Amino acid sequence: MELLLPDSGDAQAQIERLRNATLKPFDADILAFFGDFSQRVLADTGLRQYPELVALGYWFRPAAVARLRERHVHLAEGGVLRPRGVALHYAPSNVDSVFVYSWFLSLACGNRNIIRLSARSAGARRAALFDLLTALLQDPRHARIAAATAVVSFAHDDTQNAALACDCHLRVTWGGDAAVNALRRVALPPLATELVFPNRESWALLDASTVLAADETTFEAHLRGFYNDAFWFAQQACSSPRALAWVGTQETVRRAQLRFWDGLRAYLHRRGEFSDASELANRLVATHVAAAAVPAQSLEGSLADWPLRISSDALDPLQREQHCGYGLFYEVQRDSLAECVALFAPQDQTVAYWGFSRETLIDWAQSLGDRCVDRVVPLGKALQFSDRWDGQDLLQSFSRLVSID
Amino acid sequence: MTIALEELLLDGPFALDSVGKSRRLVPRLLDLTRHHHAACESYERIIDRLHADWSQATTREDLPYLPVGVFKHLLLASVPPEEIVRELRSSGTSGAASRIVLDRATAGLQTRALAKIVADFIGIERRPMLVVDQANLLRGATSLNARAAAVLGFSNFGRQHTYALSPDLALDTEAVSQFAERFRETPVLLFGFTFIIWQYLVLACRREGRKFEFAPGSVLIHGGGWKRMLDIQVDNAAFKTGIAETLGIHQVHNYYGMAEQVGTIFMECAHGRLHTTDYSDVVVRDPLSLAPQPDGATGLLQVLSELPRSYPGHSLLTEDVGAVTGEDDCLCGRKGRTLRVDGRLPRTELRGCSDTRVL
Repeated sequence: MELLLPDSGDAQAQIERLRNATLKPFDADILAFFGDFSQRVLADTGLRQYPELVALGYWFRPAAVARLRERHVHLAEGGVLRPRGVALHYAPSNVDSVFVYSWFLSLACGNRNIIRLSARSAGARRAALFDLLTALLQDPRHARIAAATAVVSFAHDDTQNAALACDCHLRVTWGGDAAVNALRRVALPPLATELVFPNRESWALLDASTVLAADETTFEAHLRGFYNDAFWFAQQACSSPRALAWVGTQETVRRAQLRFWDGLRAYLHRRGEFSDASELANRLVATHVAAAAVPAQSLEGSLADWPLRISSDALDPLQREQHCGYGLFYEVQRDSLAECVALFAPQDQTVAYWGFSRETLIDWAQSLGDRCVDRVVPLGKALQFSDRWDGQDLLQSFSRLVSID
Repeated sequence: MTIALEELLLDGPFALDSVGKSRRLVPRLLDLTRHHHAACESYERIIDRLHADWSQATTREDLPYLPVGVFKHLLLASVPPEEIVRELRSSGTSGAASRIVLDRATAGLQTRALAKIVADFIGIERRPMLVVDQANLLRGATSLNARAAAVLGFSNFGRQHTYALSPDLALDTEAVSQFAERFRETPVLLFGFTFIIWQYLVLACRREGRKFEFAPGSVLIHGGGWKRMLDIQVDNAAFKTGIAETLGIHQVHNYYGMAEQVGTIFMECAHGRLHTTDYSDVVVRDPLSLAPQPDGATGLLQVLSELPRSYPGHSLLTEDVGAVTGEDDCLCGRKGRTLRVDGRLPRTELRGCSDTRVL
């Protein structure tokens, strides 16, 4: 096992040490650490090229942390919100910002944190982030945070996973079904608890009349929002929309689609973005395999199009499983929002909407099936991390409520 | 099916010029499209939905195609399960393997087509054959992987089959020496996968400072792709030099083919061109617009074959990059289009948050 943070010392010794490195939720040292982190990230010109890291710095700026702290105080009503203790996080190797969100939110709640990363994901982005975090943790002002932290890396090994599980109070698994299934086979102590983040999929929900009626400025803003949601990570993030549910009569939807996709293609063109042959090859296989699925489907435009659009009666498991991202969109038309309910499956996480009121969406969300949809956000906010994720309030889940009557 | 099996594969396989071929092949391929559309429900859905104007096709460029990768995810059959006599599996260098189902008729057509093609290069007489692969390759296999299927297919052109490698891929020097000695006066056939021949025969000989001398007129046929060869920066010329040096063989034919279209391989002639046959053809498509490209332009290879009856594999868009190098104009005298294969399209690795690499 290799220790990556706070320094490259002895991993086992650091893990021993952090057991006694207790902290209080949102204590002054934690707030100073977040403040310093945010300032350094936002001041670092080298990080500007990584928008998700800039977003991370912004997320932990003092004003935002103050709001988190207020929520924490509110959640503690009726007692005291204590840390869980030692939290063990398994983070995805390919979206580096996720491990920081998981670690920092857990730290905010006063936990000591062991974070396992894959050593395989090297690269300039991670190097830049790690340089910054190493410097931060070496600062004597953050010695208490450094003592409560162990970012480690080791090859998958059940003995190692079991040894770490033995002494943790909370295990947090990001990274999909395979990771969740693998780690669930590793027993936790009876008093420990776990949070899991399995495979999820996401949608855009559009009201056709709203799209048609929008003035140019509003329309452009929403195109930009959809672009950020779907194209920033080439639909590879679980909260990126892979399908669009259009609400309106067939004729209205058809006209709204025309405006929307023409606008989007022009927007992509203006940004100078294009797809490549390898992505097209992925889309071709995905669409051809999925076209064998039961729901009626038809190709809108040509197979070489980017974005590639397939109209479908619904979305079945084969279409979901085959979806490769890279600008492939399934589109479903329904006459009313109520008729969209059956489209959503338990793995659906985020719905990014345009053209519905919050009240309407609250009613609608109550009619959805068990486990379906955890997050309903305006178009353009799908990728924004939130302290409520996958149906969990993370501040609450990273804490333990001692009720005092 | 309106095509009688008997009338198939009587001539050729390199007899038809462009006119003759469009008269023979295109109607058969259109016919096959209708056959598979009627017989395979998944294929029917796919082409109705994604190649909606397929029934209006009149040229080979108009034919609907399947990306070859679909066979990794769907089991596509145009015959009832009880008629399936064999299932082929692709090597699957990355991820899942393709599954191809054969009925008796299709398996027979593959055997006959391959025989026609190979005979055109080495004659119809069976030659002593050295298989450059593991001695136990064909033992105990129920479904065949691509390497085993190729060895099995080519074994028909040999006699006194001898394997050059032990089960752990070590060079069986004694077996090869004995084989070369025994047939010192008789032209022999060597067959194997390009990378296997290079890695375990040529490089092993070089390492041990060993040379074999096969009889003049001996032939080496090899296929299976260049991906791993390009990784170690060995091209066709270097491969041929290595073969000449270590084995004394100067007639070397590469072929391009795939598990999804067994039988209609594209053989390399003495002039270095890969040849389509009377029963097969190639279309080159732009990798971004998918539009058919003029001869000479580089793009994705779409391979056409009139053999697949039991599965809808008669028109496949590959992820191989190449170009048409001529038509009816090769100095070797064979008619038909010729092609060049440059390699595989680099694939973007699928990524996303659902991957912790915990496993």
